[in-house]
Amino acid sequence: MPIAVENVSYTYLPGTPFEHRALKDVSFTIADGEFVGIIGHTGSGKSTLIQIISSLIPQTAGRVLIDGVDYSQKDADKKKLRRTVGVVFQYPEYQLFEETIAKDIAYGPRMTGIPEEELENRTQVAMELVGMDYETYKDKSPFELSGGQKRKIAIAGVLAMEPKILIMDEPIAGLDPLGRESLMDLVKNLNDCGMTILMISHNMDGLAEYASRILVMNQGELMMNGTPREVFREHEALRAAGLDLPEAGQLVEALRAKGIAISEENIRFDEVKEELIRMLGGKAHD
Amino acid sequence: MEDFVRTQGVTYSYTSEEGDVNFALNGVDITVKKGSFAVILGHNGSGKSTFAKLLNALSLPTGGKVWIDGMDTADAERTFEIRGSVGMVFQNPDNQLVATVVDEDVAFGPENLGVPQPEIVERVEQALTAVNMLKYKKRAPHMLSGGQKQRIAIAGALAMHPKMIVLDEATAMLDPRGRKKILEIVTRLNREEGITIVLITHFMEEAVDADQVIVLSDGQVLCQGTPHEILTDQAMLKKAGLLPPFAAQMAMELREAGIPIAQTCITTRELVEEICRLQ
Amino acid sequence: MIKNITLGQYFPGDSVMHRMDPRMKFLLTLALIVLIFCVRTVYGYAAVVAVLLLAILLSRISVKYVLKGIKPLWFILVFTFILNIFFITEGEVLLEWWIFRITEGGLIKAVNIAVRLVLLVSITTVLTLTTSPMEITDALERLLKPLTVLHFPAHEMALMMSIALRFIPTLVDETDRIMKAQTARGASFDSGGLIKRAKGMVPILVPLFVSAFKRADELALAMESRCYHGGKNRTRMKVMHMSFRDFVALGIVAGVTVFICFGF
Repeated sequence: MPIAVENVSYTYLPGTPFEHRALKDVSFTIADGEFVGIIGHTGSGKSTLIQIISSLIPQTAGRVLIDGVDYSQKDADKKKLRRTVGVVFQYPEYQLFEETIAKDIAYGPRMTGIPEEELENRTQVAMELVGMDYETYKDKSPFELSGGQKRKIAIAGVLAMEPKILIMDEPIAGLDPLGRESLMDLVKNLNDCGMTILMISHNMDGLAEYASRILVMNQGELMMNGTPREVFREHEALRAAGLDLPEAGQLVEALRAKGIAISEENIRFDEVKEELIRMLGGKAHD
Repeated sequence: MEDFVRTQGVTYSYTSEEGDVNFALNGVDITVKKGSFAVILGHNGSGKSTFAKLLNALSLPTGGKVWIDGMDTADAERTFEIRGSVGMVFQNPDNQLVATVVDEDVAFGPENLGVPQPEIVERVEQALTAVNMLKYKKRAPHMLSGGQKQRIAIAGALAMHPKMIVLDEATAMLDPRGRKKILEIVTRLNREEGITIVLITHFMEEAVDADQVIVLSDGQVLCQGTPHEILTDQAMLKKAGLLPPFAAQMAMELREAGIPIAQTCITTRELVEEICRLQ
Repeated sequence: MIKNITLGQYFPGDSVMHRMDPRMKFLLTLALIVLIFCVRTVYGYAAVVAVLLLAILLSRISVKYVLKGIKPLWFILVFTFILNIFFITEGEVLLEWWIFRITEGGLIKAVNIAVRLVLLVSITTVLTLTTSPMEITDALERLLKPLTVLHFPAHEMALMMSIALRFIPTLVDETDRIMKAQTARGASFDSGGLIKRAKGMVPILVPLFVSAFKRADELALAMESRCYHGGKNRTRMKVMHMSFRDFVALGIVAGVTVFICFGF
């Protein structure tokens, strides 16, 4: 299910004093199984972009093809689109509404036309994926859970549709360190199983670690499109776009400023560590 | 220096629907010195937000005592005095601004205190200047970014001329830039205005410049000490469901690999110095 | 999706009308509305229209913009006009066709009502265009303050209104977000019969209510932490004072009142 975004533009409230061009002629493609990070400061157009890709708002110009199909057309099979492209919004726990967790998770699959007899199995699988025990939780109210658990249930509700493409808007916002780590692990697992991931995040370290490609949005334009290594070595350009480097990149930058010859190619924790061990003559770690 | 906050054997319990008694806090003894910068770390559900509400008499402990500037929070006569001297900034930027215009929101606290009108105007100007938001004073709050809203919330607390400001996960919903800005502002208020700060967070890097770090876990104080002591104690942090900050983790793993890096590195700057020393 | 609805129709500005004391604006608007229903002659209407035009001129907002306020009302206007013209049968018959009969009395009554409606809407539109909702709320609070002696909760009412104003945009945003999230899960809100559509709203309404209650809780806490304890001993940052222009306006409206009361 490759995604092709072709010359997409979006204008808010055209023809009013509040007119604002949120996206300007954005084009890129995403192949099957990629893990794409989208970074950009607040108001750079990244949220608008994912809403257009998932056909939640219509673009003003250009088109989006998912597996060759333009789902913004009137006669397009919207249910198929919803099954294909899962969207996890920021703070997805605010979309829970059913009496029981199992019912809430089954809502998406049911609405997109999955046969009733498949629902239970899908619910179970989705809950296992996010690490929530089916038997313990299925009949509980989603409103009894802690914040972190609610988020897992909301994500399970999207996964139960078995999407080929998963779009996420800052899924780790508000989570504590272990919650952040376990969520990134989950996404990594899904990606390893072949799911295409499109993730908006400010978590540069997570993206440096897991993403295969990064799109940098700035003032409605696609400013960069490359591997984490290609993107994160552009220190100045990123800073100008209001973005930070991953922590490892910041360390490398600080060391280089002190005249220590460490390669700018190092953007991950382990890479920097190995290089430092080599430089400082410790015994290499396994 | 005298204590501004002192708690003794504080518990906070509630009864669940099934009738079980749960302890959100269980025997917390903490002191925070006047004019210091304290950070409370803890994973979600560790009891840190429950604790925050005790500091401004928004709720009272079910056991034990909380003294603020020598006043017992259970003393109903002094509730408003306590609330006036402890400003609170909460997590959700959208849910703590009352008015439809920024300056009127900042004026809300002083108005409640019955401050005379000309002085309110003065305080509002000062408070907005302190958070660098004066030029937004006639804006509607919903047009501002999350970080800007939190700055208005800080200004709202400042306008009450508090002696302490408690930030209850006030940075949790912000992007990295917004977070950094808030931290800069409270650090400045602490150093220049002498306002006592209690910052509750789960971002480890926000604790590196604190005078005192307290780790809460399951409603109890697991550990307290200086940032260097706390943030380098990996075993303890793990027990608390936390992770050391980047520099501390890196320093530790380098040491494990046999490189004699000082154990006390918690910031990138310190780590760089150490590496330069070894080169 | 629902963001395009503009709520309130305040037109920010710095004209004489904008700078008038909102209390005076509010009271004079009320007075004019009462007057409209006392007018009996064309001269009386002319006097009210003159005041209205003067107000619009001083507000520096175009007459066209003010008249836009009537647009959503045209249906009611036409409806009441037709109702009056056909159902009031007083005076001389002007026209008769099949079962319809238009009389002089009916025509006069219909024109009267239509003119009154247009004036009523225009006058209130001038008020809302030149006075922010917050100012109206403040003015109301202060005008109703004497009633607190009778335990009328003037401050609480005003506070409720201002909180509502503050949170409407937030809740509109939130509704938009929840709708999109549920749409992404396959919900559709514009297909099926009435019952199906109503049922389709549950996935929006439940989260919206849950979050609204959470917001209310948190806001109450934030207000309490800022020493809120009702309207007692509260001071206000904003001062309202009547100035020369307010008394001139009062004089003009008083003049028109006298004119109309003397039979025009």
